[in-house]
Amino acid sequence: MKSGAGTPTDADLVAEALRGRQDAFRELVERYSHAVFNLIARMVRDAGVAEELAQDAFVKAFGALKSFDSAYKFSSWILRIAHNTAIDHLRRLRLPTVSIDVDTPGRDVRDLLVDQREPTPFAHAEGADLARDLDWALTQLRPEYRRLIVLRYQEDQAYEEIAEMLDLPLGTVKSHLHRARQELARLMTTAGWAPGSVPDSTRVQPSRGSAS
Amino acid sequence: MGNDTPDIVRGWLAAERAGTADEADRAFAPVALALPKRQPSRRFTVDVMARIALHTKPVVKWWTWWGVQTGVAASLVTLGVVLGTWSPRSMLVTTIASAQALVWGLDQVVTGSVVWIETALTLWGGAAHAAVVVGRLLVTPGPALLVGANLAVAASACVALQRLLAPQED
Repeated sequence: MKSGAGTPTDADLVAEALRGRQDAFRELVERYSHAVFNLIARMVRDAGVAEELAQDAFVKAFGALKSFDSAYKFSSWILRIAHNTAIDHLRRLRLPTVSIDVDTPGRDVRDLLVDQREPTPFAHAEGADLARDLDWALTQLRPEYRRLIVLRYQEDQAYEEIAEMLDLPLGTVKSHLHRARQELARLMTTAGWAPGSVPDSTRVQPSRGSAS
Repeated sequence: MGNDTPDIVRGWLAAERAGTADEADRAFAPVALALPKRQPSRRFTVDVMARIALHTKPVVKWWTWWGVQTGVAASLVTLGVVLGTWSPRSMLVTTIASAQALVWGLDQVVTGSVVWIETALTLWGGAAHAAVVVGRLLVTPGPALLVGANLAVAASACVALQRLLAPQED
């Protein structure tokens, strides 16, 4: 939610959209398109499908705008719709829970691991390796863990908000996030990020520093 | 390998090894900034709004239609001309005459409606009476048998006629 001087809040924009001003909803799409797309893309692991599903999520949100309770954060509401849209898609496809990204034939593994269009704060330094390896590690997680990492650390959602969004008990969210981070730490250690460690040469992920 | 591990990663991994969830949560936050965010296409917002436009009907405000606006403007001009040019006496006379014409018209409408309803009721009443009479006749045995016999004779005559005509057509 943004509330700077002259900048309408999400609640203001929702109210305007409900009065028939589509420009207001366009502003909401602009604000949350990246978060929604990122969450769905991380869950379905296909940019084309993610684009379609993210659009579906916004169309659904527009249709259900009257049911939005302005006492809650719009970001949590739209991310919940995005999450449910992705889950519905995955259920329809019954996708396997094991990562297949790195084995996609005909594509450079680095294109899959690091989004070239948006450099991270680490992209121009040694952090480019960190970004790539962290991205790889994230793709290895179970989808249930992956979505939690995205919501908690990329979308800055509180534990309580995530619990409400995913209809999970707060304790489950905390324990799953703990396990997700532990699994990420194990994978990063395997990739050679632990002090004094040696990268595991048997994994598919390119070893640290080899992709730059 | 690993000696040049950034401090933030080193700190996070140490917190995970120590098993302190809260500290690991805090320590991982800066590390997670390295995670690239997936980006939608440049046309994403345009495509979303186009899909929404397909699903929504535009709200037509009747007062924005040019015909309504022209009518209101013409009425105001006419009213202004009338008020500006007519004398109070002629306006009073015209108003009374208009009211009389309106009352007379309403009276005609009411009278016509009453006549129409009376006529309809009379017609329907006559039809209903005839139906009752015919119905009573038919439910008694004599007329019912007579009608049945007539129908049987007519049917037999039709069949016989068809048989007679069939060889001639061949």
